[in-house]
Amino acid sequence: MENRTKISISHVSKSFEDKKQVRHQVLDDINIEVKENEFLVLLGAGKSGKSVLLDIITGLDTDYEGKVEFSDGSRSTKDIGIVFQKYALFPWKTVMENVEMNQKFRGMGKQERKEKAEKYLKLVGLSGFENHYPNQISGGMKQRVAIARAFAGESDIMVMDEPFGALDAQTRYQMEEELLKIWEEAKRTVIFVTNNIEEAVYLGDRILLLGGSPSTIAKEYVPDMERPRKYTHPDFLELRNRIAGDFELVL
Amino acid sequence: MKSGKKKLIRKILLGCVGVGIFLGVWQLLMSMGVISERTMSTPGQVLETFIYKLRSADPDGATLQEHFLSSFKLAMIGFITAMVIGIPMGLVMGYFKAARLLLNPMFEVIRPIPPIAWIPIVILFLGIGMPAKVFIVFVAAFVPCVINSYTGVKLTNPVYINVAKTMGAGHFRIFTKICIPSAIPMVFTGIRLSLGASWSTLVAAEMLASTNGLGYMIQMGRTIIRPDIIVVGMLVIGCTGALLSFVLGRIERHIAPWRK
Amino acid sequence: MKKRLICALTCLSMLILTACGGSGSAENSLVIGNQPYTQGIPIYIAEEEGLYEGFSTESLMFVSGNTQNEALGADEWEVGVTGLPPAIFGGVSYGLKIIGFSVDDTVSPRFYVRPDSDILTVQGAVEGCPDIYGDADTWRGKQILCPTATSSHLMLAVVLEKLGLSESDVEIVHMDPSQALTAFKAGEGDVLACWPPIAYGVDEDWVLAASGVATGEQIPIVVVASEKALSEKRDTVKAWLKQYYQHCEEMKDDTDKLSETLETMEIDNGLTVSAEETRMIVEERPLPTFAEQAELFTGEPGQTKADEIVMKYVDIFVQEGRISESDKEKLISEGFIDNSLITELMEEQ
Repeated sequence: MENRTKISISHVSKSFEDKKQVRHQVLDDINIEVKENEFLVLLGAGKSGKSVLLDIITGLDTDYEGKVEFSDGSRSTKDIGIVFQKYALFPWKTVMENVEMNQKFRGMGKQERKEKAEKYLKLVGLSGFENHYPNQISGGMKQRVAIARAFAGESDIMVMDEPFGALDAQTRYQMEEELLKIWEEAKRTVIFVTNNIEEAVYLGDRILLLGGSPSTIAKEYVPDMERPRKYTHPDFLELRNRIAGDFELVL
Repeated sequence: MKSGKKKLIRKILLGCVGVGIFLGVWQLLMSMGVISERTMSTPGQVLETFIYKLRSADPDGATLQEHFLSSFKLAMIGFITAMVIGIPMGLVMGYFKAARLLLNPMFEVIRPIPPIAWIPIVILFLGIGMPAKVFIVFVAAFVPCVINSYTGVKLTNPVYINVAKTMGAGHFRIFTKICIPSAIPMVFTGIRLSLGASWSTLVAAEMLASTNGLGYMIQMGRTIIRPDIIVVGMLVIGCTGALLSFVLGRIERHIAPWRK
Repeated sequence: MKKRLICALTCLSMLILTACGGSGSAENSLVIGNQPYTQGIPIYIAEEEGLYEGFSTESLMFVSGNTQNEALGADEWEVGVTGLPPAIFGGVSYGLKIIGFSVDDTVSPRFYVRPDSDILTVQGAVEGCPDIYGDADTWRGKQILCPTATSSHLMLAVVLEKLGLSESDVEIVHMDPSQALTAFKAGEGDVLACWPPIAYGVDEDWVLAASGVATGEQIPIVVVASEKALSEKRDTVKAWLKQYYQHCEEMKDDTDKLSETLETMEIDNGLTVSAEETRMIVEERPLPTFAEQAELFTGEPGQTKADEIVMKYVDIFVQEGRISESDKEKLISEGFIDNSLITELMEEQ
């Protein structure tokens, strides 16, 4: 495993003013060293500021204190692959067109675009659905298209904001497995956000627990298990329970 | 698909039954004398007059086709002009603050003025021919186009905008590639409302000055006390409106198949 | 309890019935369909000053003949005054009868052109009508702003007939008369049809190319009665008719009173008019006299002077296709012009 730092997040804090001009602090002194090609999980409850932190990391939000630095110089938003909550597929474009969108904006040629899109659709197991519209496919399939789209950008950093939150348990387990498979095949740095402890333990090389008010990095865990992990393995359960306990404390 | 065809047949059948009941009640009320024949015509008489008007210019000066074409031309030109001007205007106002600040005050003042109120001014500036009447229709038809396009853009899911940003899209591209497609369902709603407004305002527009037209025909029907002419006029206007709406629905389904 | 309820309900229904019965259906009452114009002044004053004797009246004001006819269709009035076109349509559809003439409306229809119109290059082309300018060639193809199926429209048809043209030789644009005036001032149209008081607003340099007076023909405002009123309360109608002409003769010369009353009537009904204009109007349009009616309505039913005048316009409507030939036959056979009341009043004198 590579030990180089890919992203350095130092002393990041964020607050905002509400309508009554009262200052609310959301993040307080966040420090994270994201390693190259690691699968990092940010775990936190609903209002723990996870999405806010993501927006800062990806550059969608530029109003904060602190620094976010990338190992290979500055990076703009478009060079990070993002999978949003709730799919965010453009309903007026077909599956194929959605996946191609990324490269289209970058000006990639038609043929090349098509090939790349087909490659990633195959990777997520959706060959044959190119000409469907998002409203014609299931939730799980939509999320796979979103993943294909993000991966098609071929950025070496992937950020995923609770991508499986809206799926049923069965589909979620499936997707977690598939995601790992894809990641193994096309290795990149992944920052994965979730509020599900089991998911965090199943997926992450490292888990950072976000909590408190304002939010800070409360705890760090390193699941020392081989993949694929078993939900019922004693080590898995032990870690899960430990985290659950800490989770309660920071709520 | 057997069940699909069955559904269609059922739909048409129920529609016909509904219309049939309405006609039956109408005829019944007249036969029983509840509605006097002095003031109203029976469905049969209306049909007779309809067929008669296809051949004859009496008693209002033109055949039904001539009236219809005149009104149809007027409504369509007004409608298309409204779309061509109103939709881009609304879309731009929805995304670019400067445009909104510039155009909104004027628009909000113009919006509540009823089309008929424009007639005296329009006569002064545009005369009494087609352009003047088209303007009246335009004024009624362009309001829904603007409002719905504006709202469509404003309601663009911010997530889509973020996605586009993550792909490196700048303001202009976000507007054209994200906001506009996202707004299409609302734009179509606006078009539908606009079509309805054009068609129903043409009667008012023809009050400005006319030598023929469905609105004119109805006015004449009133003066010479021919309720059958009035009803024929109303039915032609009503049925045409329904047909246009149907056609628009088909077009929309073709252009925006993702819309539920 | 039940008994009291039934009693109360019966009393209530009797009350309602008598209230409804009211002025419309009793023998000794009349509902008058009036208009806020010269012809309606005697009726208005009679009501205001309680001049009617022997019966009670209620009057409804109608600014347009169209609404007046619609009310007639709903049996809302029984006698009244109205223009000739609405009277004819009312006659065809509702059996309305003309029982006398009121104000002579011939002075009203006026047709103006601008000073540069080619119509003005010809004068005297029509025999016996020196005040009609132009001829068939100069009038052909002209755009005439004129509301259709009105007295002005009828007069226009007469003018065209005298010129040897038909309606299809010109383009008649149907417009609201005051908007037509504005449009003509803005340069629209070739000929403007209008009548007082709108006609008092014409530009100084416009020229009267034709008018009702110039044609030498006559067009009246008419006094009318519904079929129903004539069959159910003929005597009351007759009494009203007699008193209408009586009042006309009494007020005829009191120009001040007439003009002030007309102003009040018009303004109360939403029409804009000034004191000078109403004065000019009452001076131009004198109230009718009974002696005039005697002359117009003497003779066999269907062959009086009144018949001749009215049927001329009925024929124009038939020609234009507004009413059918069979409608005309119906008017004749059902005695559209009913001279019986005038005849009886003449004998009673």
